[in-house]
Amino acid sequence: MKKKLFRQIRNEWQANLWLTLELMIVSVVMWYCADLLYSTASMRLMPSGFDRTGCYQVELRQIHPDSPNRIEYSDDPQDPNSFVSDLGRILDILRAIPMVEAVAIGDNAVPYQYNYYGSFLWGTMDGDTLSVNVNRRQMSPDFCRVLGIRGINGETPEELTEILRRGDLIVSENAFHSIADRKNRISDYVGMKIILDGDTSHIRRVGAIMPAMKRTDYEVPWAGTILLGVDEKSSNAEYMGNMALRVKPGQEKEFEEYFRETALRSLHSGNLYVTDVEPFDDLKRVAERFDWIETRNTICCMAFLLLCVFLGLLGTFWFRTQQRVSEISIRKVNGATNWNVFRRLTGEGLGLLCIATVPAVAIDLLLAYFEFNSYYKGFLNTERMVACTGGVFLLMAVMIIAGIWFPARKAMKVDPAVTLRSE
Amino acid sequence: MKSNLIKQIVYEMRHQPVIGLVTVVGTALAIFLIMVVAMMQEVKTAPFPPESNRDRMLYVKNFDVSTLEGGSEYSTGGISWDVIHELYDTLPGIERISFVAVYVNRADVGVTGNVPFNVDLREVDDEFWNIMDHTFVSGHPFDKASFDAGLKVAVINSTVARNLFGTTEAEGREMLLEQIPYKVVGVIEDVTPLATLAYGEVFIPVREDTKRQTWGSREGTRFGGPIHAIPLLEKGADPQAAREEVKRRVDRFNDRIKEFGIMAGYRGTPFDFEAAHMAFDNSAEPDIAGERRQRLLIYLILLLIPAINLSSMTQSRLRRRVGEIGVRRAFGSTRANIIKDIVSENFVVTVIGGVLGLILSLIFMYLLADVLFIPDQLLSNPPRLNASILFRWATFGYALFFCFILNLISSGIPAWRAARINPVNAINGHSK
Repeated sequence: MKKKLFRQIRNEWQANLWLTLELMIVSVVMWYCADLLYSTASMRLMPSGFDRTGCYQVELRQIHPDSPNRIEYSDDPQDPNSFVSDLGRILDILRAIPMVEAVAIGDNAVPYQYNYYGSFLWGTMDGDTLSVNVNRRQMSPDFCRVLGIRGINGETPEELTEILRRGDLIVSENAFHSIADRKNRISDYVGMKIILDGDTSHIRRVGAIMPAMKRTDYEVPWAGTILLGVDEKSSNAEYMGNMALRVKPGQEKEFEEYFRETALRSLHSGNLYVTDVEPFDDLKRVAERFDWIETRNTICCMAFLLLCVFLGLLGTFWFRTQQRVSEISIRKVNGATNWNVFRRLTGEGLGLLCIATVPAVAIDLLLAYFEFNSYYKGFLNTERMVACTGGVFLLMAVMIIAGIWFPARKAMKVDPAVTLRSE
Repeated sequence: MKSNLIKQIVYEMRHQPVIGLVTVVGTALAIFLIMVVAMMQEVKTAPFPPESNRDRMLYVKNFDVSTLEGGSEYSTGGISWDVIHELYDTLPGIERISFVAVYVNRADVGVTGNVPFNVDLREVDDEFWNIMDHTFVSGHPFDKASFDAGLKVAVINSTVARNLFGTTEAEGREMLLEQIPYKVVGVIEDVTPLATLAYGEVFIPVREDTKRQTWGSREGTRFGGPIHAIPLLEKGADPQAAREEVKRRVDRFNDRIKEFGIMAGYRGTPFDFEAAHMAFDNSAEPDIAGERRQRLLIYLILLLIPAINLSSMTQSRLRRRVGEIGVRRAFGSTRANIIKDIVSENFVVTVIGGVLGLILSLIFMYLLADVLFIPDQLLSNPPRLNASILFRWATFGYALFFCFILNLISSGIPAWRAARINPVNAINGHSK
């Protein structure tokens, strides 16, 4: 049976050459796309370290210095006529909105921004020395609740808020990767004394360890992160560029309506006023636009190629079945069932795919060897190669069967008596 | 002859409807996709109002400084007001030049007693209005005298005008921009964010604090800043003359700043519109040739794969017509004639598919513009495509060109092979 199949493929070699060539090109391009999607999806599926559901960035503004409405502020943060006092009033108004769960201020605290505020950590514990550069995110303690951050030892956002409030640091677990091989559990480093940016006068303590924190969902957390607490009532609050809030679960729509129609009118104090809130989803959309465009184009490209394979096979096999009516009739007369006829036709398509896959995989390997594919745990990675080439083969096989399905059904319906009489 | 051609196509379509349908759908799909890709590229560089002068517009946006030893000192996505004037003002072959703030900013506007709302603010100079062609619904742009005097005047778009005053007839009205009173001098029609340089909702003269901003690594070396320049080339002028003059000025500038141990880079500026879109790296010239190669490769793949499909279908169709070809050859038809007939017959089918593909691509682009184009920053308006962007002669030209290439690839080889069939064998029904 198989011998006959291959002989048939050989007999039609000229038409099959085109088809095999097409399948090979499509297979290579599809593999490239699949490889890119595989690495993108793997990065995307890694936990981000925070929960953006119900989070909003608050657009806080200050009256321009040239405005006649601008008032002079006192430098004393305790003075009712100071920036810090006005900020406190705005925060109080936001916290009083019934749908709001938490509000906080920070600097480099809102995700979906490609900022990296490098900070140097140095610390020792039980003979281990940590010396690493990390991304510093400063925030008022409630930011842990806004971002829904949890510790790796099961600390809740509320507990982490308390840890920041007492002046301890929260460090991400990937900051310890350089020394973690000497210990089984990174969580043992809670309590480590840390010198931040070489400032020996302020030794801090690691209060909790959190999972690695990404800047965007597509990015691998390539550097560690520290969360550093800032008191909303201190003069440092003036330098915090971010304000964000979290809405209670499921109340986003209600909040947005209430905010724009009611709350916005009261959100001003002294020189400060709020103009809008932006959902984190919008920030994410802009920050990840290039990754999203690349993913979208790759998926479109794959869909297009699959459709091409489908149409190509459909057209070719439609014609082939028309040509082979008498052959199919003779086979049916000799006892071939409809299933045998269908198997022979699909077997021909799949046989061609197998032939095309051999040089295609060789080209895939060559491309991966010369790093013409995407990076994720290296370029040439056995697990990824098997998954992507296997996946592409299966997808193309499905399209081939789908493409041959219609002509094969037509072939199965051939009535041998009628056909052979006309011969 | 022509009526024969049409009759032949109709006959083929009626007798082989599936093959005919697959050919048309395959062609439509290929042209649809390639046109979407081509149009997405076109939107970035082709002229349309209010950026009708894109073919003459140049752009200056990046700046980089390195140490005299060649190490990197800093790079910025804009230049300070003073330095950009020193390097780019009054260049040979340049008709006029506009200096604008780098990006659209989010700012709030309102009128006394009302809650302010966010708008996309652009700070520009008076020349900006001479380079772009915004449509004024009422009023006029601010002029040089207003700009030089630092007057608080603004041009706003129709939507903002309606939101502030309930009408687009807002010339002379007062609004508060970040709580500062501004007088509205003109109202323009809304602009799509796809016009990346002309887009904005509120336009004001570049502010004094923007002009004063300098960015850099240390005191005395802060030459970066928030300003971009848009030089407009004289009609028919070569931008190279301006670039050579800029290079001379950068050399002079470097002589002056070498006491700090640093030098500014000359990166082939001012860029033309295509290069400006690729200039993401502040300290390197964009690789236009590489980008074009990549684009060509994409077009080739998009054409080649459907062409192989269509080619095998054309081949199949022709095998049924072996007898007909044999008879024609026996009656004296030349090979060139046979090839010409098959290719032109196929071209008609390709054009039918192509027209379908083009219509589909236009509808797709119009409906899904905000999914296809994602702006670089949060803006108040989604990117929209209008008729002036979509319906351009160049678009139809491209579609016809791609059809022609697709047809040539898909029918060329089968036609050539069909024409080489021995007439005796062909009449006997053998395709050798």
